[in-house]
Amino acid sequence: MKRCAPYLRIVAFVAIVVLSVSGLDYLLAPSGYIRYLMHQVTESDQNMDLIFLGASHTRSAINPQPVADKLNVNAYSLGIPGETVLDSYYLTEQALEHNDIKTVVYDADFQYWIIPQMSGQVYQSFVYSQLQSPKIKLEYIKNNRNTMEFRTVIGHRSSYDMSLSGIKQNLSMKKSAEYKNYSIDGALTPDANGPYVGRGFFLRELSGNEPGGKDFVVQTYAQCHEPLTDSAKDAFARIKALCDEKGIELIAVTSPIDPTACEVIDMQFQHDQLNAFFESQGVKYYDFNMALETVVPRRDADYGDYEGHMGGELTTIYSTQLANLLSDVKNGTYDASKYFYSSFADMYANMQKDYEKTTGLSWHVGEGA
Amino acid sequence: MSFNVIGFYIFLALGIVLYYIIPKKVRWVWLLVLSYYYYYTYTIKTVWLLMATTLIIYGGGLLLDRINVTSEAALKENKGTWDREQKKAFKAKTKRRKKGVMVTILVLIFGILAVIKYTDFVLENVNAVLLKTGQGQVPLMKFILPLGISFYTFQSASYIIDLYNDKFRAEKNPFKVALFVSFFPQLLQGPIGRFDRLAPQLFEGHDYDLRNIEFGLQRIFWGLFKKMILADRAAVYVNEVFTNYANYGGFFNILGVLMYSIQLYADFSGGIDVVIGVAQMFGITMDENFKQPYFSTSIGDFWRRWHITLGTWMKDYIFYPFSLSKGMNKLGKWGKKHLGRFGKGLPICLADLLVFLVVGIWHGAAWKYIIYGMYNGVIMAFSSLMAPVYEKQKEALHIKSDSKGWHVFQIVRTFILVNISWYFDMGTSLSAALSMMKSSILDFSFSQFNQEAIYAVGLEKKDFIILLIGCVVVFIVSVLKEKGIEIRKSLAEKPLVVRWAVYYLLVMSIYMLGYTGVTQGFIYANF
Repeated sequence: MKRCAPYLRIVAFVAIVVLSVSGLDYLLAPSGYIRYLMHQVTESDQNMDLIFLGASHTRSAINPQPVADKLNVNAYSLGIPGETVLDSYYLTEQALEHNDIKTVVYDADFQYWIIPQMSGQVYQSFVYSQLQSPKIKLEYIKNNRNTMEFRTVIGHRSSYDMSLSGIKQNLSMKKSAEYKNYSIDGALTPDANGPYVGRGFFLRELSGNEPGGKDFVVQTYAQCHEPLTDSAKDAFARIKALCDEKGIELIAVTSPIDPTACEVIDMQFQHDQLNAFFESQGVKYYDFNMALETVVPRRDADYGDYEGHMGGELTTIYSTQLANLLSDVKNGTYDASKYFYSSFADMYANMQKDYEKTTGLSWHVGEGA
Repeated sequence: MSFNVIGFYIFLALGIVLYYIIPKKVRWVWLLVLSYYYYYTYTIKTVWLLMATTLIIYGGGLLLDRINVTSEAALKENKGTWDREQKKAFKAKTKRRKKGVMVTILVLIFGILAVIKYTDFVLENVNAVLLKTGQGQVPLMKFILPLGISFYTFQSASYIIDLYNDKFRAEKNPFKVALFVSFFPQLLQGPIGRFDRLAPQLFEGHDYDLRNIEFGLQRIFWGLFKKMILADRAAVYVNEVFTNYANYGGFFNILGVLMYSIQLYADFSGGIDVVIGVAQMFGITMDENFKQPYFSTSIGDFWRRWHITLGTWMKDYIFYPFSLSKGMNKLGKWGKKHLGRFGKGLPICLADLLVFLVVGIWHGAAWKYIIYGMYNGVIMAFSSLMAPVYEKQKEALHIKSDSKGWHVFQIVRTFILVNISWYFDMGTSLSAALSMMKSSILDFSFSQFNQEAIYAVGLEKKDFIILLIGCVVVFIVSVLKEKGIEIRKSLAEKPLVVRWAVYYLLVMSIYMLGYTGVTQGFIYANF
């Protein structure tokens, strides 16, 4: 016993540290959207047939309801702001444990494909920290062991709110019935900028004016011709392999961003390299940045910001057209000219005219003009 | 695989468990496997350069050893037949042969370092000249810098020079030499080990001792405390100010340099703490690299406390051989004759300048590093030349050398001089460093000091508070160490509850107060 004492002390010490971290998590880590989403994926009786993967653009642009109605499937958006391509892989894996998924639609936001992804860093560990399956958690640790900061393994350190008001709000939420019942009201969603509609979709509210955040266009311009990163390509290849293994159809799309950013940051370059990559993977790719203005009539004012977060009525129009496209693809009646301009040059030459003709509205609104 | 990722600790745990399970005889082989695996986690592309250096010094070592053995045999064989002159001539010939081998080996290993690290620096300067003369540009080579190349090259060089000096016999097993060159904890940022102290420990299979694990972990956590709480946080401010220095006034530039003094010390010494802690868990004691450097009373003292293993390397292999060489001896005599007391010190001054030129070049391929080195060298040389004058001035001013006030003055003076050197070390270029210095003096105003402006640089109020608390903790620990108190020993003597409470506070403070934004690796890992 005496020989074991030092080791028992170490075990007790580790246990105390783990308990302390759990206590701090409860006290300081606010309950966010991912907890709610994970519950939908793993615990509820959803049985999702079709999932959308992507980041904030996905969550604000794709309303899965029209897709569910058109294709007669249970469609759900797993788009999470900040979700890297690698995060999408683990989310798919987690979703597959509890759902009989037949189609995965990956919504590619170029930013996550050209900026190196360090999914193991403290500030980017939000998907890992909410994964339910120990097996997938271990796989995450194994695959990210060379980049994952050790603190993220045991706690939710990145999301701590240590202000007194934050702690008060957090505790009152965690004691609430909404939190305990995994209701959306039991999760903080400050970045949604609109009400939760359902199926993983938030309807972003718009001001009606030109969007803010012009800095984005300026900042992104500097790196808009970067090549796709190996980490993003590798992560997508894993999603593809997983889908192939399970006999799941994988389709890639890109939700359209605002026309100004699209042109200024040369989305054609991103389109070309993403298109080439998805083609090399044997995955069909539909870039709605090229969508006909007669099909998806969009102007800058339909976005919450110049980064391209869609909002308002356009989300319904776009989601309906996405549903139509997916239906056409499924039925083998897909015709590109029905949805897309023949080229970016063609689009830039005609989009304003087409928009105004289709909607009867002015292309520019307010001071942004 | 940096020291703050989970993979490193899984790797370490498995490494330690297996190390103590397998037979003692082969434990060094396991260390070699771990070391090469560790290198592989960063890159495999440049491992051949590590192997090349290993093979060169292995072969060179054997050659030097063979010359020693054959010459001893020849002397023995001809003991009765050779006269004194013949023996002397033979010894001189042997020494020349050994010197030839040593120089060849050093040229080869430093050649690799020079080509990989400095080719583009030379080409950039050639291009600058060509541009002025309106000629075409030479394309840069853009070699991938191998992990820890400056560290393992210097360590390898010490092996060869020590062999030349007959400090020990050459290692016959190439894999053991490979372990000496690549031992994983020190591969990234030193300390620069010496074969006679490090190798026997590496090759000996150590007995398991829980105290080694406990002490090792203590040291690792202390290193992480410094790195994650202080260095990573200060880096945010430092990077912003040094990158966009033109946007900030003198006050911010000075604050940026002070922040860099925190960052660099916490980063480098923190990293070394982790290295030493990891080695200790295998029962290996590594050379210390820091001794409260910010308590230094002169630049010379600073370099005896900061990056100690580099300092001693320079002293043993450059300073003494150069200053005690025949040429310098002659210069000293000539100087004494023609210039008096100042002239006598000329060899020392030149040796100081040479040492710090090499220190500057070692730090990186850029003019700012060369100026950084020369700045230190000039101060050292000037100080040794002026030492008698200073003494006279002190006497005239009735300053007592052992007074507390004088001691504090010396520390503050040295701290300021060191901080001036950080402008060159961290500045994005030589011209940027000079501009920052100019701004620090000419564009300084206390009116720039307002909370709103300070918090706009990248750190919040809570970050400054955490930095302050962290600095106070490090300061207290440094004062205790400076007074000769061995903290870990005295902690071990404390009651169990106190001891574990300290561990708990240390671990939880890293978890809670460690910076959570985007972090960088260790600064010296880039060398």
